[in-house]
Amino acid sequence: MFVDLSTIGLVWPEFILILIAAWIYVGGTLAPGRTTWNVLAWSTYLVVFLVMLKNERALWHDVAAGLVAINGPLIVDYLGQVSRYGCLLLGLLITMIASRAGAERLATEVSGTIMMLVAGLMLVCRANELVFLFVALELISVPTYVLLFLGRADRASGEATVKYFFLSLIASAMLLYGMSTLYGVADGTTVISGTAEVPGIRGALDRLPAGHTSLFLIGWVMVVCGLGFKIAAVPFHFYAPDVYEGTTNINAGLLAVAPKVAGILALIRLVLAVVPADAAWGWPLMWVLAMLTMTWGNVCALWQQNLRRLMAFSSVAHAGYMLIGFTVALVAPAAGGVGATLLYLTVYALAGLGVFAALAYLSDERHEVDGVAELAGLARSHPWVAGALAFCLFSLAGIPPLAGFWGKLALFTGAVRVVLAGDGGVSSWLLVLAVTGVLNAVIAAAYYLRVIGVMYFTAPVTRVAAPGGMGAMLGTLACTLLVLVLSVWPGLAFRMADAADPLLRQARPAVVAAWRMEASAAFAHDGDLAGRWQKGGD
Amino acid sequence: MCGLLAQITVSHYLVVGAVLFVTGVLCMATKRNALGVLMGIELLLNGANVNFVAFGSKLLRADALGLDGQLIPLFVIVLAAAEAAVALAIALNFYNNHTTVDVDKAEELKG
Amino acid sequence: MDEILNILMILVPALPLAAAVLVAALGPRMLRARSHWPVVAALIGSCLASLVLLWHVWRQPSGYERVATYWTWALVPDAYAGESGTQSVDSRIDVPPGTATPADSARLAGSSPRARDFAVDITLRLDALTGIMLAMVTFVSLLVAIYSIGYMHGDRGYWRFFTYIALFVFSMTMLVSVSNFVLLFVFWEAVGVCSYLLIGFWYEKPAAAAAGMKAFLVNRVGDFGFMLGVFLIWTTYGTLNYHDTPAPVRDTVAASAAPVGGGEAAEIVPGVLGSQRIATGAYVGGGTGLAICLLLLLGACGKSAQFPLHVWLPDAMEGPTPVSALIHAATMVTAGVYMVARCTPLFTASPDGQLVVAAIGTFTALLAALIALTQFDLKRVLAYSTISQLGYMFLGLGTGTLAGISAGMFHLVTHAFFKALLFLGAGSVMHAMGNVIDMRQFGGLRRVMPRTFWTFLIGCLALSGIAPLSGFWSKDAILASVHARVEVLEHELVRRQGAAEPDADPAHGSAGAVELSADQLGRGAWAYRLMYITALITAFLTSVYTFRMLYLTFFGAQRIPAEAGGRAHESPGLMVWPLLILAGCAAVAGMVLDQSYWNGTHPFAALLAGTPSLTGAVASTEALGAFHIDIAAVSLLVAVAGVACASWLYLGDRRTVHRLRAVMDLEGWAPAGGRANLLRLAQRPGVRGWNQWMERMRLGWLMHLLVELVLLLALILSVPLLLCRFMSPYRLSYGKFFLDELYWGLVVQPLRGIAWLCSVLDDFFVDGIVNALGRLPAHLGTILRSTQTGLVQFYALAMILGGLMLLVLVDQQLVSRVGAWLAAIMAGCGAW
Repeated sequence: MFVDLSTIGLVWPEFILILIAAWIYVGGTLAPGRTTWNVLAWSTYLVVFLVMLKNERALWHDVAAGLVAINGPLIVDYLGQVSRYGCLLLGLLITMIASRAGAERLATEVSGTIMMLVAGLMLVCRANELVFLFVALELISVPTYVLLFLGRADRASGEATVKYFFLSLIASAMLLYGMSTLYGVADGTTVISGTAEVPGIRGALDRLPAGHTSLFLIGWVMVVCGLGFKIAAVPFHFYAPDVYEGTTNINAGLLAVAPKVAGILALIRLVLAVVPADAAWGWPLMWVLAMLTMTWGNVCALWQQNLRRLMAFSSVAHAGYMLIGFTVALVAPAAGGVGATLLYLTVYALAGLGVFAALAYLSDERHEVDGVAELAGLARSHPWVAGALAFCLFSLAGIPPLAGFWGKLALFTGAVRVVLAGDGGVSSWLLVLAVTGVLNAVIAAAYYLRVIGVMYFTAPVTRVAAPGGMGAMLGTLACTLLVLVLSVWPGLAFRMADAADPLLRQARPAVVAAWRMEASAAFAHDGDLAGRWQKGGD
Repeated sequence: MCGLLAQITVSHYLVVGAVLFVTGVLCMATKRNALGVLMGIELLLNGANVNFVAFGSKLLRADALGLDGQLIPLFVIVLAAAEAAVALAIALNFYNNHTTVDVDKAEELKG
Repeated sequence: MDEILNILMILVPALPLAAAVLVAALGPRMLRARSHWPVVAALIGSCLASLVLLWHVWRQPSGYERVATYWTWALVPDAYAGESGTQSVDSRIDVPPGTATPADSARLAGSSPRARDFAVDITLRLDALTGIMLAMVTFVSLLVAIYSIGYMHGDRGYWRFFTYIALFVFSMTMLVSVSNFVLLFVFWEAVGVCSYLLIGFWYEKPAAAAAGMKAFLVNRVGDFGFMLGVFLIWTTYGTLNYHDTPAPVRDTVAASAAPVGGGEAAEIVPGVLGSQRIATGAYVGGGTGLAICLLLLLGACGKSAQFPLHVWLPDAMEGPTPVSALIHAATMVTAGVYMVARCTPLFTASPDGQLVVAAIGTFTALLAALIALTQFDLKRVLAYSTISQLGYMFLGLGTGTLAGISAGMFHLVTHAFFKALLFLGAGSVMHAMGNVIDMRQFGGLRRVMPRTFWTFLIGCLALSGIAPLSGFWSKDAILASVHARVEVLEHELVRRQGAAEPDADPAHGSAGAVELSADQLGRGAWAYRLMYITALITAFLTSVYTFRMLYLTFFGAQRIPAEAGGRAHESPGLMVWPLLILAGCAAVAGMVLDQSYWNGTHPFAALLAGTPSLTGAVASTEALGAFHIDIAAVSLLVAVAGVACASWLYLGDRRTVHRLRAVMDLEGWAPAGGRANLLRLAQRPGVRGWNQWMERMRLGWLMHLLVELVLLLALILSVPLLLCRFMSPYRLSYGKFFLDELYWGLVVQPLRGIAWLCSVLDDFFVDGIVNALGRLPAHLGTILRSTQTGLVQFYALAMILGGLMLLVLVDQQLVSRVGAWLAAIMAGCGAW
């Protein structure tokens, strides 16, 4: 483990978040109240966001000057930096949506816990080290247990909490077991080594004598299992429907987004990073997972009457789509599979959160919106919410030209590109994958459209109250607006996702350099920084 | 004693770790009591911990680097303690609603 | 300054869009009868911005263009593979001799075969052509919007109307300012949608709904051609941008060779209409070029209502009259003209394509003028007149000379003024007559609506081409350009015949950018001469039907239909002021924009000639703006003759008209050859006597045979005459040459038959298979759902076992290896 002061200097935003979270915990017991602490939480996210943005230039100057280790415990690259802003945005949105969640006296616990979780997410974004990754993932899991526990005090909620807790712990244990094996094989905890004296896990396979890969493979698969739970991949998805159904809409939204973001990023940082480019054993695993996950999720969602259960299976299915990108990346690192997955993850996170935010707006402590039928006639009673909900659902279904469509397009074209370029064996498997993906998108449209149909073409049964508060409404609109921006401006998202793709960067550094120049304009204002960015990235 | 130690390699520790892991799985799958299940999970975590310690031990491997192998289990133990604290709260909540801590009573959400 | 220009360029379309969104959001609840405010305000802003832009272009030197890229809308990497092997695109391009140096070709060739992205940037352009169109569109829209405040007052869909209008102005301004064929197509469709919505604005009326549908469907045919044309441009040129675009560095080899982070290494993709391509003249001629031209022309025919796709425009008059004035006379229907003018370099590369453009234009002009002669619906007469005038514009564009193109565009602008004026005047009449539009039901409105009458008269004079109103100058310019084209072609022909070998000096007497063969020259000269004569005839017909319409409406005995309810009156000020302004424009625009008759300058043509795609592409720039007194005299004479003819027919009592109609309807011709007539002939004394003599000679059977033969012959001979009864010139014109019926029988009915067949097949075969497949996921779902038992321990086991299976999948030897490993450990333990 290699820690120095500069590494600590890199994690100050996470430190601040945890400090403020602690302050919110303590302060909440002294001066209970909702509004004050919520405002504090929001402003913390905003201030951290802005200060990070301001310091970005200085950071890259330091990287260029060699003052910061790029491949230390924390990896410093475009993906890590950009996704941290995304995490902050996610935290802001979730806090906003949950601004009226739970009992008044527990309000500070909710916002403080969410802040802890966001800090964990931000750490995962850059983790390049086994312990770091594990602790960061636990920093997401433990607050999630607490949030589930705080959600509601009834039978269903208790059951959901117990299920999530135990299954998540098992997943963590599997992850840890896998990590222990990887550690043993590699003699070190750093994933991608920056220096010669610290061996990286990435290079471990090269050092192993031929035919001694079994131990490595056990570790690798166990890690995939542990992280598969986070993204709810089949067969680690069983918890999702039960837990989503049992808990509140807000918690379900959190579960649908936060662990998935963490899981995908951790998969990129650890699982994909350690696979050598010519390994023939990597992609079949992802292929099987992707096929199983998307098909299983979609066909099960067809029958669901409970909205959260439906969304749970849909989130399983979306994990399957994202695994297509990983499969492509493992077959051909230069095909941009990881970039497509990141794009899809962004789109899914925003649209999924938008759906749950709209449901949260329609619910409160006393009554959660559960059944699809409860949305009947929503278009007439709450046209804006219905519109936003329909928009997000359309996007999830991948109706062109909405953001979800661009995401699916990126994933499928990635697969097709490999098919067109590649040789016989692998190509046909990927073709099957792409075709199954398209078929699944068709199946998925059926249940999304069913919900939209109920909202727009059915007479209302009961009057739907909207006690969720302005925060949830604002969250809904913000998510919808962001999806809209991604829909009309997919070019930017494509470029940023490609620039963030670490595999693509290794495979085709020059290609990314040109794009990254444009994307880095978001941070840097002068031209020379782009060059340093380029040097710093590798 | 020395001879005995010389025969013990990392592999033997790995077997212990694997046995712990499998025991944990079996415990978790057979125990109904929530606390029993929790114990099973502790066994899983400790199986991994044994691996870490074994891999990092200078006695077993001359080429092991640093203290990582010893430090990681410390982290894990602390985390496990934190999780146990949450687990108690969750179990209590479950008991309040179900008047039992048998996890096989948690079967209302399905389908 | 650059920033301001960029903002102005985006502001012109953005303001109407914002107004549309605002009115759509607030119209039904809050704005209601005030819905026009945002739209009118936005249009004023747009109009001012356009005028500033036009002024800016005017001050710049010739060849000015400004391209502003706002963001990338869509991107498909490596979409264009280029040519395989060493053959480059250029080797297929006929480079005109003398215009391209080898170095130019080499540069272009070097950049062509590289793989390229398919990128659609939201890019707006500003040059003379766009500036003129923007100013015209926003100005007329503003006036029509103001007029509509009065005209649509009290309508249930008031806010809807203004939303659509604002949306239309947004689409139209985008259409003329985008710099990419994909976006051109997008907004081409968008104006079509607005047109569809506005034609069917009163959707409760079945006729309006049907007319909207018809317009949409007929336009689809054209759009299909347009789309194919765009595809063909993509495969031929490898880009769809008008302008030259710096290509992103894609190739690894190229990128590693180039300095990282440097922008100067980026190569330039020459745009389809970019300065680089125009300078080198790298356009594809031959079959491909002709195909591109014809496909684009098909699109233009749909949008600009040219034969054979003109049938939708007269029906489109079911929409509110301001819509007819704005969309179906002044702006949207000129999109085709704009597009052909924009793509001039493509057409210049294919002289045959140009000839087709001119021929279609001329034929449409004549056809529509003939139909307009006999229609009684005031707005339909104007609609056919619009079609006819659009035909003139295409004729101008089809000459392929700079003079011709600028004449066509000039006619576009003046036509926008006077045709909008005429339509708004017709709307004013309609408004006063209680929505009656049949000219047989009213008359003599001169006294009732004096201001409408005078402005309408100005419009009629302009449309007929009476000097010095605007229509005269522009129509004269078109005729002059056609005539000049004929002369150039004939001169060239004579020169070729005189010289033994083709002259190597292309600067002198060149008929265009592309060298024509003698065959093409002869055909062109002949065709353009025919077109010139046809255009003159059409000019005569134009003034006849124009004044027929004027006389029927405003002269004669005063008749007011019952629908007016005795409240026939002049329209309110809000409707009259736009009329007056447009009348002013229609009267003086020609003189202001074309001053060739007194100082030899032609400001409009000079400005338009500054458009980059026109300056470089069209070689023959001689005689630009020259005033041809002879042609002007002829056309004026023809126009005056037409007015005189109409006056003779329609002023005073209209017996002459009825007699003329009877003649044209071939009344009394058909019975000439009937069986009864022949039998009556047999009763004539002389014939009967001969007949009786034959009877007496026992040769009666011969006589009967003879009579029957004659009768049979007569019957056969009379078939065309009988047909004439239904197809007399008058009936052909009145029935619009039965083109609608023809399309109905030849296109619509067969398609319906096929559709029926398909639906039967679909119901029985396809649906069965699809339903069977569609149930599959649902059944699978019920099976998989049963795994969701709700038992947490089952889930845990499933996770662990699932992980184990994945492990086995990844490492197939694992099972045996672990077994061996365990055995070894056991053995070790045992030994110990």
